[in-house]
Amino acid sequence: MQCLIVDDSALFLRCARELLEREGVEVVGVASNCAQALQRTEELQPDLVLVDIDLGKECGFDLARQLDRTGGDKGPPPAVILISSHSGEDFEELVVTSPAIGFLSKAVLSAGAIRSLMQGGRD
Amino acid sequence: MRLVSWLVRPTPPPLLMGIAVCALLVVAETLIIYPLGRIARADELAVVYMIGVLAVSMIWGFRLAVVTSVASALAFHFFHVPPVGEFSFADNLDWFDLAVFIAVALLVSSVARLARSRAVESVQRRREADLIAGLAQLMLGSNDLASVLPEASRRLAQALELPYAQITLESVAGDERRAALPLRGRLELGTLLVPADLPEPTLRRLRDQVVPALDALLSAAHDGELMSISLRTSRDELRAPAEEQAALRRVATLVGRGVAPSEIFAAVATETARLLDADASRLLRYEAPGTVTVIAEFSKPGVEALLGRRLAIAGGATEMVYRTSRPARVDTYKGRAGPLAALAREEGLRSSVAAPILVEGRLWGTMVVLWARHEAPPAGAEYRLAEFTELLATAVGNAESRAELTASRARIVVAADDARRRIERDLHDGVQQRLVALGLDLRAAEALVPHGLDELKARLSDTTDGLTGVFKDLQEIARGIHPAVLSQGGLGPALKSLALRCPVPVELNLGTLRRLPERVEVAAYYIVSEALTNATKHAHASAIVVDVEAGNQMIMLSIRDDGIGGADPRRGSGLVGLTDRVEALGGQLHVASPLGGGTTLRVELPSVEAPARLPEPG
Repeated sequence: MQCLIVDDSALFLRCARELLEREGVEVVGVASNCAQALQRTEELQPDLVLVDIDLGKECGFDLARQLDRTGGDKGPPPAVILISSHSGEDFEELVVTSPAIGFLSKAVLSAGAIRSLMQGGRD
Repeated sequence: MRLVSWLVRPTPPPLLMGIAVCALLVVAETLIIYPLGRIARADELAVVYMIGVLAVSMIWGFRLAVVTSVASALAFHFFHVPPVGEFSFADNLDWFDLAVFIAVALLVSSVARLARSRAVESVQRRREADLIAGLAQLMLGSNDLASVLPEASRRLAQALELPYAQITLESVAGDERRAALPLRGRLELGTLLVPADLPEPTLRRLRDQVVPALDALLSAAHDGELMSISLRTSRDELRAPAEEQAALRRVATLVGRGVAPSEIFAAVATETARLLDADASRLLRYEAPGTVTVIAEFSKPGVEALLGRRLAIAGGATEMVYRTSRPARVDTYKGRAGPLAALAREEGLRSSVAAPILVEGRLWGTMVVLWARHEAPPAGAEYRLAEFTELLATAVGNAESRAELTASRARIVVAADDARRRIERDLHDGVQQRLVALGLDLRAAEALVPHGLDELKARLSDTTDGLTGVFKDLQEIARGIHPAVLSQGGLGPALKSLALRCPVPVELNLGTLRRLPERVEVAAYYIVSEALTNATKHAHASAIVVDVEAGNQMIMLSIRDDGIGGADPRRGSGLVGLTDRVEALGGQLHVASPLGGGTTLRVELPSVEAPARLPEPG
């Protein structure tokens, strides 16, 4: 599985990349903002994009919607998982109404959690 | 007495009647002497003829009396004095009788004539007195002398039996048809016009008796008019200050009550226009140098409404006030240069006064009052106007202070909220990220532990869990400082999350809620959050209903619980902070909290940015 991580914290990008690659998820690229994310998605065509809800001034939900509109002749848009340092409770409804397939708290980020979300799909 | 007045009436009965009576009397007297001859000697009864002489001389006058005397003497001598049957005047004594008769006739007719003329005089006098009394009542009792003169003239002519008479207030010279008798008091008062062909005695009588009385009447009437004018003026002068004080008091009451400035402005415009009897009054606020905006106005029908317009001040009283900061007047706009003067002329306004509105020493605006009439404005009007503008300055100062106070409270609230958001950001970007990274590193390290070092793995796992716990705690703290969902998702999701996390069941009705300015969403969130806390902790409620209604200009929040009630914003319990927050944003808070009957909190918040200065007119 090829994965793109979008987060405005360089520290997190490094740690997450290390962890996921160790657990067998190929991180093909990283991005710090929406523009970069869209560009890299276009270039790298990942299967999965991890999007931080809190991208500084930008909003992860907006990016999720924009990513959902990509795709076309190169294939379906990538799956989006929203991640955050914030608790997921508050965002439940927003996540459900967004194109993302689910939410993961950064504290419990792991390949296993990702895979189960991808397999489980959306309820 | 009727007989006596008939006897001395002014014009005697006709002469023919007199002659007849004379003859009759002489005959009667001659005949009477015959029977009387038995008592006395006939030739001594000449005295009987005295009756006739007396009567005739009293009624018909001297001449006929002489005739009667002669006739009597002749009759007496002919019939009664021997030798009877002929006229013999030999004896001097015989002439004596005649002489006595004539003397008596003379005396009595003189007396009668005197009495008669006195009677005539007294009748005339009484007629004139009645006339003058009537004229006095007529002329002094009316407010308008000129209007009663025709009636007075008519009465005069009627009473004095003149063909016509006319009293006029002008000095008119006589001509061949009319004689002019001037009426003079201390000044020329008028003229009495009568026919020129009146008999001289009548004219003399008019001049001597009637004219002086008319003089006196006209003088009195004239003085009376002057006095009532001066009374009216004094009354007006006294009334003016009283009215002015009342108007000032009305405006001061409005200012004291803290009524909205626009209402005070309108009130002052109306009061000053009415008080100064003006055609228009306008409140002008100084804008960019050389211009003003009309922010309140009163104008009589026919004067164009300028409310809300921007005007250049050159040429008007406003400009004078602008330069001197003192009351000013323009006695006439004719010939004045400048756009404001031209505008005044266009509107048909000829003069004005203006007074400055000085708020904390700086010139904020001007009150100007304008007239269309030709006369210059009353003296001192600009200073009377200044009394009103002082009140206005207070009102404006109050309103500006209040607006500033509200603005600064809002700034404080917003600053506090901003600070919280920054702290939350810092936490998120700094500590939270590092904790996440640490956790991920630990799990990476855990994965690296080779087989067999189970205890190490377990330790690492525990540490990771501990770290996750810390991380979760920090999430709670961060959310308490500022909920991220409010920034990311808006008020709706944030309120939903509040409702979910509340230990007491909350029914949330959001209506049609769209994104609002951040300041408003933050305020609404904290208000509901605080209200839920109060309901849960203090009111011991078991159910809460939250309604949110977003209108065009306002957002309405209602939080109802079924708790113990008795909440009082004045006695702390968390409502004070809420009140401050609400009022800082220019909103309103209503609390209904009967003891034992639950608490209902209703908040209205403006959902658009408040204006930075006093509202514009309209």
